[in-house]
Amino acid sequence: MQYRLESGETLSSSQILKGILEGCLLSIIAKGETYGYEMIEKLDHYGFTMVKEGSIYPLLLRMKKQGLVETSQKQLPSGGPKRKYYTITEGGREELEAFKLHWDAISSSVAELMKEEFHGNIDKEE
Amino acid sequence: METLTKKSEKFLESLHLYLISSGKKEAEAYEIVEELRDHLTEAEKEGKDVNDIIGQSPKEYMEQVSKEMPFDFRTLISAFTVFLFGTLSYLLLGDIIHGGAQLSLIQIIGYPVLMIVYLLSLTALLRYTALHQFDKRKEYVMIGIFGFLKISLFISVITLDQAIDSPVIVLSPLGNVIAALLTISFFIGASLWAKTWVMIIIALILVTPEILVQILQLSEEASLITKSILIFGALFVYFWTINRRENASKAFSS
Repeated sequence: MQYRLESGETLSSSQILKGILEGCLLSIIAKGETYGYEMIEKLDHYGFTMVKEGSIYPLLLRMKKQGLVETSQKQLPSGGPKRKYYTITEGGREELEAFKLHWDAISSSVAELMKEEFHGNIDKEE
Repeated sequence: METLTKKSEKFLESLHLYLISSGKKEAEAYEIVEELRDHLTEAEKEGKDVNDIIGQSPKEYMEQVSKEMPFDFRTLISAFTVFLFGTLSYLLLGDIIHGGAQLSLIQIIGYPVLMIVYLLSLTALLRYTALHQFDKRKEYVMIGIFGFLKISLFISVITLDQAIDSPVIVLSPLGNVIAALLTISFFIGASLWAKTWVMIIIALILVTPEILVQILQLSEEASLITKSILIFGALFVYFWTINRRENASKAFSS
């Protein structure tokens, strides 16, 4: 599933998805310490296949800059290089709560509107 | 130890170069490159390609990452200072041994301006090569052109200095001793900071023949010839040794 905008750029680079993706990343990190690749696997699991894997890193950089998440380097039990783990901060939790409120409002409005659209189409067909 | 495909390695290398030449902190650039290396390693295990991760345009992706990282003035200024003083130290040390340092106004203004022009164009070149994937040969040609630019900038300062009379600062004997001590402590300090012997070794290679011919009290011609042979010989041996050692360590690691 790949949404295409008129300009030909994919939705993954659009502003709307960035905002939503940021909220989702916060929600995933809030569930427990995690790292980049694991976040992608979880997003995939919830059906976020339109997200380019690499696009989470610029977002994570920004979220760290804004103090929403913290990072730490950890040695893997298998040896080899260290891995970067993310945890949520107090500020991140507040941001997540704000995102949930916004999202509830937006998604219920969109759902309401789409429901009407759906019924409208049925009415026309009858 | 997992190894990445050449394509992924090339991308990580370009990203690192791009971030550093865009004035980002070395440690932060390293951190994001290593994080992406981790991701690419996992992704390649599942048969994904680097373009599946970063999209079709590495250039766009590098710019996106760069945009989220702060510009680091401190690194830039310290790198510039080290570069400026490094070059000045080489020039001064030669002068001091030669019988006393003197700097004209044109040199005092000319060299820093030269450095700024050179460094700005060098970072522009590095960013350009990082964003556009060139083959190695083209890269070497461009680096060669820039080496030429540096030499011609130097020559123009020297020519300008000879053509125009400007006030000259001549150091007193005590001033010379102080300048010598300052440049030597700069070399030692910078070498400790950068954890490399390169600067000290090159300074020694340039300076020792000069001292030697003064002790031997050779004629002007004889001393010029001796100096050139010694300096070029020593530089050649030095770079040849480094090159051999690097090749040996490459062969060992792969």
